[in-house]
Amino acid sequence: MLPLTVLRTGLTLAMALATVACAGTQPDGLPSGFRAPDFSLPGADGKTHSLGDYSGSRVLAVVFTSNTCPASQLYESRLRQLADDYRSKGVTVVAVNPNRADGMRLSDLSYSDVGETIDDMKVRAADRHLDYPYLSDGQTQALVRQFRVVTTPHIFVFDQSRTLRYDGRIDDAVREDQVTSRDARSAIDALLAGKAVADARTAATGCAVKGLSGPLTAEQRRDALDSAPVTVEMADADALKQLRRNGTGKLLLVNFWATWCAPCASEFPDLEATYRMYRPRGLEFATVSVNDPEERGAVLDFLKTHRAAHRNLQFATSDVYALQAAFDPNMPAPVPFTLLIAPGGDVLYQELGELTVMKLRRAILASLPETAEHPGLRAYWSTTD
Amino acid sequence: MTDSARRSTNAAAPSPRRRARCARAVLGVALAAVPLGIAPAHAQAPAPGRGIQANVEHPVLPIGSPLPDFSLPGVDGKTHKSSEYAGTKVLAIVFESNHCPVSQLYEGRIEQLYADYRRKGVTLVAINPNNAKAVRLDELGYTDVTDSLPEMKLRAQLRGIDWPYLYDGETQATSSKFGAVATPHIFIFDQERKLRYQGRIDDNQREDLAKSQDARNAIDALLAGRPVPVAETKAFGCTTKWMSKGSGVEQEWARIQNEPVKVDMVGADDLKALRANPTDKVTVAYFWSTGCAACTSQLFDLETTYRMYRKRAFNLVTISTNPPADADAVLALLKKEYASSTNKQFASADRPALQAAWGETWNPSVPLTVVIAPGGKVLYRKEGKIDILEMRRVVLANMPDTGYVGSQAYWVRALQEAKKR
Repeated sequence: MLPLTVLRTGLTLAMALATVACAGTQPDGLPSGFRAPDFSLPGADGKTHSLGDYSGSRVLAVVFTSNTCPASQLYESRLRQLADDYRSKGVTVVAVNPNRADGMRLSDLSYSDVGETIDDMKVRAADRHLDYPYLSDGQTQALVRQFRVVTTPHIFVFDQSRTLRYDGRIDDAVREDQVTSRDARSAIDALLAGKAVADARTAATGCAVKGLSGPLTAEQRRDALDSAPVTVEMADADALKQLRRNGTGKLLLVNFWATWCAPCASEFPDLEATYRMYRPRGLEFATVSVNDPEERGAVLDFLKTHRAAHRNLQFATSDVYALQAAFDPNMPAPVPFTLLIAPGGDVLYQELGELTVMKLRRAILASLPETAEHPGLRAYWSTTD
Repeated sequence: MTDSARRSTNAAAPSPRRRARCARAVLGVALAAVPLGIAPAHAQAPAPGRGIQANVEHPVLPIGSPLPDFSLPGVDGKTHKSSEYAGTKVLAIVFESNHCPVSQLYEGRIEQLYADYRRKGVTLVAINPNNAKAVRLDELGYTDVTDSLPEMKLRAQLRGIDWPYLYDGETQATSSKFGAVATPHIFIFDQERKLRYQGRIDDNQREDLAKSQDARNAIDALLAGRPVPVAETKAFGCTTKWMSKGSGVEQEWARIQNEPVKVDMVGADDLKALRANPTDKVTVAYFWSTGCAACTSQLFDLETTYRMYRKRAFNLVTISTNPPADADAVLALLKKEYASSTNKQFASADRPALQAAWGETWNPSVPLTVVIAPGGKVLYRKEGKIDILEMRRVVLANMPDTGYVGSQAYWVRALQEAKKR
C-alpha cells in the first residue's frame, strides 16, 4: 500500500514521518572511499565557489537543499546553527541547490514564495539570513549526478582528505522538537575527535530533485488552466456580500481591478502565477472588476488574454459605491485592492495599490492548511528572523 | 575498519526491495499534500476576527482636524501656502492628477465647483500627490502628459485650469498628512479650518449618473451654518502613487531594453494595406531615414508614445525610406532607441515608386507622420517636426474607450474647448 493512502486514513505523525523517510533513500549508494569532486558553482553571495576554496577546513559538509522543498525550508535554521556551532572548529558547511529552475512548473512551487533560480536563492538567503555558502547546481546538475542525489535535503560529510565519511539525513525528524538522533553532528564530532563514524550512512528524506530529465517542454509547462474557459459573471450586492463571507471552506484570494487601471494590469500576471502556484493546496481566486457594465467586452478580453480561468465577477450596475459597500463597508474605494480571506471571512492580508507579490505569497503560505508531512510550515512562514 | 566494511554494516542501507517501493514514494511526495483542514491561525499570524483595516501608513485625516500646513509650487509658477487662504469662508482641497482617467472625468466638475462657489467665499485648491518619477509609461494609457510639475502646466493650459493646481510629488508630505487615498479625493474645511467633509466629489464617476452631490452638499451646509449632512464617504479612483511603495519604473525600463527589435521589408502592396488600415487600431505611420537628424530625434518621442498606449487600440509602425542596402544601419538605429514597435523598411531603392504606392510624395529628408483611423481615415498628418502632444491628443480623441467609457469624449471635448480658447 502506498504511504499516501495510509496518510489519508489518518496516521500518527511518527509513522507518517517514517514512511516519508523512505521516500528519500538513494537508489544507488556512492562507492566506498568516494572523494569530494571538484566544482565551480555560482553562489547566492554573487561569487563563484569551488572545492579548493575550502581546502583549509578540517571537515567539509556538503548539503543538497532547495528553496521550494518544505523539508529543506524546515532545516534552514538547523543548517545555520550547524555552520555557526562548528565554524570555529574548522568545519565548513556548503549548501548546494540541485534543482533546475526550468525543470519546474508553477504548481511545483506550492510550498514556496520563490522558485529555484540563482536570483530566487539570493532572495531566500537574504530573507532567512543564510550565512553559509548557498550554491546553484541548477544549470548543469553535474554535481548532483556525481553525488547521485535524488532528494533534498541530503548531507555529505567529508574528512580532511575529502573522503566521504557520512551521508544521509541531517537528523531523524523534520520537526526539530522531535529530534532524537543528530546524525550529521555525531559524524562531524567523530571526525573532529579522530574516531570512526558510527553510522556512516542513513536514509535522507525530503523532496525529489527537480529537472533531472532536463528543461520542461512548452507542452509539459502548460497548466490545465491555460486552456480552460474564461467567463465573467455580473455581480449584484448579494453576490458580493456572499463573496466577502467566503463560504468556500478554503483560503480565498480576491482582487478588485479595472481595465483602465494600469497598476491592476501590471500586477495581474503575478496574481495568475500565484494562483497557479498554490491552487494544488486549495487556494481559491476570484477577481472583481469594478468596470461599468457597459465595459464588459473589454473586461472579458482582458481576462481571456491573461487566461484567467477562475471565478471572475464584474459589478452589475454603475453604482460602484453601493456595490463596494455591499462587499464591505470598510473596503477602500480605489483600485487595485487585494485581500486574502480565511474561510468564514477573516481578512488575513490586504493591499491597496499595486501588489507586493512576495508579501502576498508569504501571507498565503502562512495561512494554507498544514500537512502531516511538514508540520511547522505555518510557523516558518509566519515568522521572519 | 575499511570503508567497505563500514558500509556493509550500515543498518540503514535499504534493501533492493525497499528501494523499489521508495521510488514510488518519491513520486508521491509532490502529491502527498493532504490538507488537514484549516487549523486555527498560528499565534504569529493575523489575529482571528479581523476585518478590512484602515490604511495605517497614510491614515485619512479625521473629521475635525485642523488644516495641515503646506507650501507647494503651483502651475502659475508661484509657491502657495495654506496660510494664504485664511480669508475664505470655506476651503476645499482636491487631490487630482494628470494621468488618472477617473480624475480626468472629474476635471470639468471641479471647474464647475470652483466657478459656482468662488463668489460665495469658497476657495478651491487642487494638489497632485504623484511624482512623475514614480509613474511608469504603462500607466499613461489615457493621458498626453505624466504627473510632473511642467506637465501639470501643460494640462492646465490645455484645459484652461484657473484654480490653483499644486504639485506635492516632490516629497508627498502634504498628501501623506491628508491621507489622500486616491485621485480624485476632496477635503472640505470650515472657516475655523477644521475638516468637515472628506471623500468623493459626487457618487458616480459618470457625471450623467451622479445623484448625490456630496461635496456641494457639504459646502452648502457650511455656508448656511448648518452641520454637514454626510461627513465622510469613500473616494473612488486611482490609488495615490506613494513613492515609498516602489514604482517599478526602473524594472519597466529594463524590460523595455530587453524587448526584441526587428525590421521587415515592405513593398508597394504592404504600403497600400498599411494606408488602408484594416486593423481595429489607431495607427501612427512614421516615415523616416537614417540620414535625417530630425527623424531620429523624433523616434524617441514616438516610441515613448507607443509604450504609453500599446495596451489599448493603438499601433506604431515606423517605415524607413532607406534603400535595402542600408538595412544594418536602420536596424542599429532602431536598436539604439529600443524600438519594439512594428518596424518596416522600403524593400526597393525606388523611393518615388513606393511613395506613390503609399499615395503621396514628400521630401524624404524630413520625417512624415500620419495618424490613421481604423478604415483609413487620416486623422493627423505632418511633414517635418511634430508637436508630440498634439499628436497624442489626436490619438486619445480617436481611440475607442471600450475599457473606460467617457475617456474618448473627454479628449474630444478637451480639443474642441482648447480650439475655442
